[in-house]
Parts: sequence; C-alpha cells; structure tokens
Amino acid sequence: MVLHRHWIAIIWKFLFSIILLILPILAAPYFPAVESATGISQIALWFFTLIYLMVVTLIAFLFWIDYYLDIWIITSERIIDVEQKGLFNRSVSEFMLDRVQDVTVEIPNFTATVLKYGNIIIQTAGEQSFRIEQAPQVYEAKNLILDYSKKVADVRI
Amino acid sequence: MSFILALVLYILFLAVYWFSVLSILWHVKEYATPHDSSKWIIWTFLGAIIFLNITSLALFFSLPLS
Repeated sequence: MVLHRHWIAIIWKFLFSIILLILPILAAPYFPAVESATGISQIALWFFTLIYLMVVTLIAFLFWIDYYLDIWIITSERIIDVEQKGLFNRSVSEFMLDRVQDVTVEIPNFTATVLKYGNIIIQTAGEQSFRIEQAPQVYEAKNLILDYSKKVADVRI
Repeated sequence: MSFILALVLYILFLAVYWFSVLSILWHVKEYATPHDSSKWIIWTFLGAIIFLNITSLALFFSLPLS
C-alpha cells in the first residue's frame, strides 16, 4: 500500500500560488497608465509579468513535488517513510513491523472528520513512536499494519 | 539598457530556471511510484512552464532595447 499525504496538505499552498498568479491579471488594466506615467513600455511590463508568472509557477511546481514525493509504503515486513524536504534534501527511513505494539488512529479536527484523513501513531517497545501524519484511508492503513505485524509475529513463533 | 546586457541576464535567468525544472523532472523520473494517476499534474505544470517560456522569449526580442 502506498500512501501520499491527503490533498489538504497542499491545498493552501496551491491557493496561495493561484492568488499570486491572479495578481498580474488584476494589474494588467493599469499598464497603459504606468507607461504614460513612467515611460516604461507595455511590452517591458508584460515581459516582467511573464518572468514573475514563470517564477510563481516554478514555486508551485516545487510545492507539488515536495508533496508528491512524500510517501509511506506499507509492505508485509516494514513501513518505508520517504520524506522529500525541498529539492535536494531527501530522507528514507524504514520501520520493521515486528516491533509494533499498538497502532492508534487520530482524527484531529472537524476538517479531518469531513475530509476523511488523520494521523496514524505506531507504538513500539521502548522506542520513540512512529507517526504518519495527514494520511488518507487511515483505518484501512491501520488494519493493514496490524494484520501484517500479526503475520510477522506468527511467522517468528 | 543595452541589448547584450539584457540578453546575458535573461540567459542566466533561463539557465537557473531550467536547471530547477530539470532537477524536478529528474526527481520525478527517479522517485515517482509506477502507475501513479497524478502524473498529469506534472505534465500540466510542464506545459504551462514551456508556454510561459516561449511567450517570454518572443516578448524579449520585442523589447525596445538599443
């Protein structure tokens, strides 16, 4: 099972990018006035607007890739947590299912209840707990982790 | 501003820009899971970036530079 964060994790960043993309459209009707006041040609204003749009689009693309490459992979033996931090910083950690003691699902607020996402907290013997935050399909994931950890424990016995 | 100076600055900007875009695409190629249904978003971003790039290129050569 491959889990991405719920889309709520990126929606605010996307909305912010969309607002930044709309700003030049609102400013465009004033370009003739700017030209007559400052002498900067409209072509130059449009050129700089395009450069601005290119930069905002790239930033939104970076937001997306940061979200898209953050994944959890639940296999029959382990959970692999891949975290992309920016463009060139990436961490991959693995967590063996034979260490699982209990799994908690946390639905933290109203939005999480309505949009069906939550946090999964995995407790292990004497170690720091492992968290999967803002994950969709939390109950399916929790059941899968418990099933796999039980199978791993049965194989060991 | 002279045309040559503007051209150098613009080429530098495009070089940094495309380095970032190609880095993103390399990450997608290396790390994306197969059969992912959300790859169309990446193609949408790429389409928008190419369109903006071509338009800015056309506008650059229309700028009133000496």
